[in-house]
Amino acid sequence: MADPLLAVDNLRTWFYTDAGIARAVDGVSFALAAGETVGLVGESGCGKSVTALSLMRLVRQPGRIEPGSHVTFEGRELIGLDDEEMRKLRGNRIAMIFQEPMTALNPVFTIGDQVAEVARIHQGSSRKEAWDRAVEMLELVGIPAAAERAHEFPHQLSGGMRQRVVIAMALMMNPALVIADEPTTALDVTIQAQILELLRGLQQKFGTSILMITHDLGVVAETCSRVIVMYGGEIVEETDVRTIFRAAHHPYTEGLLGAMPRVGEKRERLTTIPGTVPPPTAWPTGCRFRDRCPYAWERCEREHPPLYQVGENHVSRCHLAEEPERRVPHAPAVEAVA
Amino acid sequence: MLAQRIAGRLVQGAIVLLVVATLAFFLVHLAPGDAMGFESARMPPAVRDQLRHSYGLDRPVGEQYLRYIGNVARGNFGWSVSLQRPVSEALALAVPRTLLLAGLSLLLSMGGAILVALAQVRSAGSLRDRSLGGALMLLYSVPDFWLALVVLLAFAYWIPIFPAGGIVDPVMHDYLGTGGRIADRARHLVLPLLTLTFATMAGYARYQRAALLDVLPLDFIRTARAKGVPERAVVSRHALRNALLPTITLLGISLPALLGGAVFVEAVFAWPGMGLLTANAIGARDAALVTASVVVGGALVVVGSLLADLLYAVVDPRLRAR
Amino acid sequence: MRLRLSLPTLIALALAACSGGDGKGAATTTTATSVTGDNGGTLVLATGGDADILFPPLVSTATGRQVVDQVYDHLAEIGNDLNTVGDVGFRPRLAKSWAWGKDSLSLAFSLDDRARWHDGQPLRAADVKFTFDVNRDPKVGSNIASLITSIDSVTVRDSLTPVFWFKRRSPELFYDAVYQMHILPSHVFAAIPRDGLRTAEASRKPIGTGRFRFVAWEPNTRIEIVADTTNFRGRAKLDRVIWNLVPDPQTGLTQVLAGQSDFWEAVPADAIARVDSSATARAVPYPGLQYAFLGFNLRNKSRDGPHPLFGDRAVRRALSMAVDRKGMLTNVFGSLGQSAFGPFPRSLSVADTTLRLPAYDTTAAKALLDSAGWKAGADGMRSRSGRALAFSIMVPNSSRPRMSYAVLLQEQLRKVGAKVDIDALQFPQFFARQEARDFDTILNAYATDPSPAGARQAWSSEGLTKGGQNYLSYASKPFDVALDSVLSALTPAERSARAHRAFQLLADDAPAIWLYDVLTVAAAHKRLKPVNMRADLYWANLADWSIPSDARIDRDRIGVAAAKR
Repeated sequence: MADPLLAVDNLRTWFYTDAGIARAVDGVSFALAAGETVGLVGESGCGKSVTALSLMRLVRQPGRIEPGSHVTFEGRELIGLDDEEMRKLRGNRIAMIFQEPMTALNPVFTIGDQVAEVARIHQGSSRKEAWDRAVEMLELVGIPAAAERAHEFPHQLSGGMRQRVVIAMALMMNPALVIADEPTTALDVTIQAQILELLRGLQQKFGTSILMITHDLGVVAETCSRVIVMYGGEIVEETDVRTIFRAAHHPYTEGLLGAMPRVGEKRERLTTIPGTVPPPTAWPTGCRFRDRCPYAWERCEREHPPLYQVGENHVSRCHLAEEPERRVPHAPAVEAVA
Repeated sequence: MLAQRIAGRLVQGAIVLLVVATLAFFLVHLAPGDAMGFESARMPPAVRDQLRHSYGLDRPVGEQYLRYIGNVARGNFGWSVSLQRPVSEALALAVPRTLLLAGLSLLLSMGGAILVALAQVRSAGSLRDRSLGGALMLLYSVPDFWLALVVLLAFAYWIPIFPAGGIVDPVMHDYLGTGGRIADRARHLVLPLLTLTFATMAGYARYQRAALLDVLPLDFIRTARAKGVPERAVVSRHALRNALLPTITLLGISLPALLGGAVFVEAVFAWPGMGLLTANAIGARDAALVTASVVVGGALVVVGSLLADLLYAVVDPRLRAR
Repeated sequence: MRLRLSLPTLIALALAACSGGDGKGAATTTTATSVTGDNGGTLVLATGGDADILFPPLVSTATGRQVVDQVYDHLAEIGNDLNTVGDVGFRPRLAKSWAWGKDSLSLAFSLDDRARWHDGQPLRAADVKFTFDVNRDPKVGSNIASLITSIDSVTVRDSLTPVFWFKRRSPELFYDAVYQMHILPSHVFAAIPRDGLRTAEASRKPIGTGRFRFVAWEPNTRIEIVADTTNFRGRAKLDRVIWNLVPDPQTGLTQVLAGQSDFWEAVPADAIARVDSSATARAVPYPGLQYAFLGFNLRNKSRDGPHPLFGDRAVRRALSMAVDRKGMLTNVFGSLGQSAFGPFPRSLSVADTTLRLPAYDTTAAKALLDSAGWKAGADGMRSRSGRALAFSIMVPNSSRPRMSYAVLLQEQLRKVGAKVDIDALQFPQFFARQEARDFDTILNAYATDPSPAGARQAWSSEGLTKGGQNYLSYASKPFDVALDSVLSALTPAERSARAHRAFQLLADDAPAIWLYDVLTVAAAHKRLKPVNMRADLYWANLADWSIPSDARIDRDRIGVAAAKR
């Protein structure tokens, strides 16, 4: 990719706990172009949220970003950047939308105040200017009677409304990149659709890049152009959306797709991926997915697979790339967990 | 409705005060001896009996109680046998003095506690955090009587920069101009205020620190950081407002405790406030004065908790009446 | 720190400094006793307790008494030797002379016609009569009513001649007439109903005839008096005296050491060295009229028979012999105590240190107990027919010396086989149980009057009635007779001889172990010159205390001008 907005290279974020070192993000590299919406997909525990926090450098003790990690944004190296410079970027050039709208807002300040605060910090706007801009933003995200409701407190709003407020906060300074960490997971389905619609609309309007983190492939289908699949702290597959749904390569992706209910499909039961994600303090040797993989053979235990190029814009971290004939299901090493 | 709530709390408060006054009255009467107990040993018993009679101390306790409640309802707190003046007069002098000392001290120690807690939390776990905490615990564990004496000796005797007790200079105060009088009062206020503030600040600081540490891991703090709010403001603006509730609770309970606990400070610094008044009244078995003091203390509890309630609503919008 | 004073005050100060002497004066003040030079200064007395009332018949706090003694006067004042026999020991005060009636049952005083009340009114004989009537009136409830029972009445012969009429002859009639009563202004108090005197305004804002006049009383804070510059006896040497209320004794002492106050009346033994070595203050010892003893309750609990332990004189004497009085004295007071020989302090005119007391001899004590039937058991504790030699010492926890004594006594008595408990009580309870005679032994301290008649209430049969103060229920006819004879002696020599006989009876009977008579030490600012500290009231001659002009500091320079309020 030429001149990416965001380039992540060998990002490793490790947590030093009493139980051992949890290698939550263990060598992740990808890039994002301006205006793109890329999905980052995986089960909980695979490291996607930590990746997002690492990009914002919001990882707190006992976690830290290991040396050798590089994150380049708008041409600047973020890892090792002066704290104050980094702060100036947060909420300004890079913004984040979090998963739990119910708790993401400060209960003692009005929503108007919280949205306006972004402008006051980054633009030095006066209270009045910032407030007016905040009301504009709230209107934009679809809050009815924004001028009045701006005086309300978070507990007076529904979950969907709060998420809109969070989005308004994120977009106040027209950031180049918005990282959305499971923005709709905690909302019910109808609201979900509305929020995604909103995000799509805003992205088109402002040309913002979005890194959409989710475990829900349906969300990916609706909003993203490219998909990155993570497992075990690593990227296991990366390609565009069409290919992922038509010709996913990695067995994990297959599993995710199999577990996804689709309209118009007739199946008797959804498949599940047997087993659970191993703890990040003890990734299995070799391929980290082998204990749950229906195709694994002894090479998978012996050799940690690199990212194989399996298509034009398609990589997969699986030895099947070299030995496709092995794609024969057998009894998995672990009993299915219903 | 806010007005309704306040009215309700005031009615509640009145009931509390009635119970308190009753308890105080009967407790004082249960203690052996009465106000005539130790007039000069030379007082002939006939005279003593006659005095008892004139104060109504020889009537049955129940009758004394009813008379007392009736008077209080009319605003007459009775006659202080030990001070030989109306109780309300004695209170009118003592209450403002104590309110000044205790009130200022409460504000300073709360304010100081918040500042210290903020400083600690900004570098939680660091040497600064731990040494501040340790110093405060030291001040907290020291008995306040001893602290008062040490402060007195240190700054009024060894390094004589402040007066050794009293509210004003007993000789020169009336000869000073207005500015001089204010300065005189201020100088006399420093040492007792310092003692009282330091003795209580540590407890509040610990609470405040703990409350802050409870709030910091919450989601909206992460949001604030993600917005680019400077770390300082994250703690002192976003976190603090949410961490004030336990401190406000403490404020509500503290006022009466401060009144009582200030007895030692009042005694050592010759500050004739409610603490001393009540202590002396108890020692002299002056039932009317003791009961009145207790009622005043009770009233302050009621007012204190009402204020705390109102403050909650100010600080946390979730607690405002719908 | 310099204080800024306004211009008028500065002028007033300058004038006061220039005048120096006593005269601002109106017509009547070419004083015979004019005070020369050196007038001026402000004395700040730090005191632990506030006054209760400033009305002499009813005052019962030390501070109140101190103030009243400056603002009011007696007809005549007792001399430093506290001689209460006849009138030779007294000096004229409000009365310039007096004459006895032929039968010695009446006494006519000639009032000094220069005497004025502080409001300008002249002193009249009617005031003296009024004073007596008020003090005697049961509606007033005066503390001294029982002390003036020898006076039958007071009449007015003319406007300057009150006459006292007595019920019976006694050597102390003059003392009875003048010592207790401060003369009150009838024009101020007569209109007030007698039972309302306690709460009257005039009882808190005294108008007297003294060399000081009252200025202000801020309750729980301070009391101020100022020199009466037109007084017929001459103004007080000091300009101003202020009682500064300091509840905590440590603070009081610190104030004197820091120079903020000038006088603290009682320095604890362990702080005297500090006062001595201070740059601002010095230690001033002065005599008192207090004596302390361990009294045995001579009646049993139900008050219908002698005490099972102490009814026996032998036991009492034995226990007296078991304790080392000198040793305890040194232990508790160092060099500042004096041992007591009976119910009197050394400063009393009839004090007698030649009395024979049971000597300290533990062997003899044990032998005496043995012979009285109290045999020691295996554990060393004694008993007799099943009853143990066990009792308690009741002591108020407000008195540090007596608490120490209690412990020392307990230990020594244990050594001779007595099992002693210490009952340390808060003062009101102590007092209540004392009144109820509910104790085995009591560690008590009494302050006496200059007159030996004070011993009557506590040690004679007169005090046995329910309201009396003979708490030990000591009843000895011989002693009663001997004490009466003391009080009827006509000369000091005769009186001393009879006192010796009477007190020897007490010493032999041993109703109490006589412990100590205390010398008190005050802390005073170095510039202050306290004089004539009388044993009964160290402040009696406060009007003669002075601060030399070359030693004065800021607060001394205010002068007698009224305060700017």
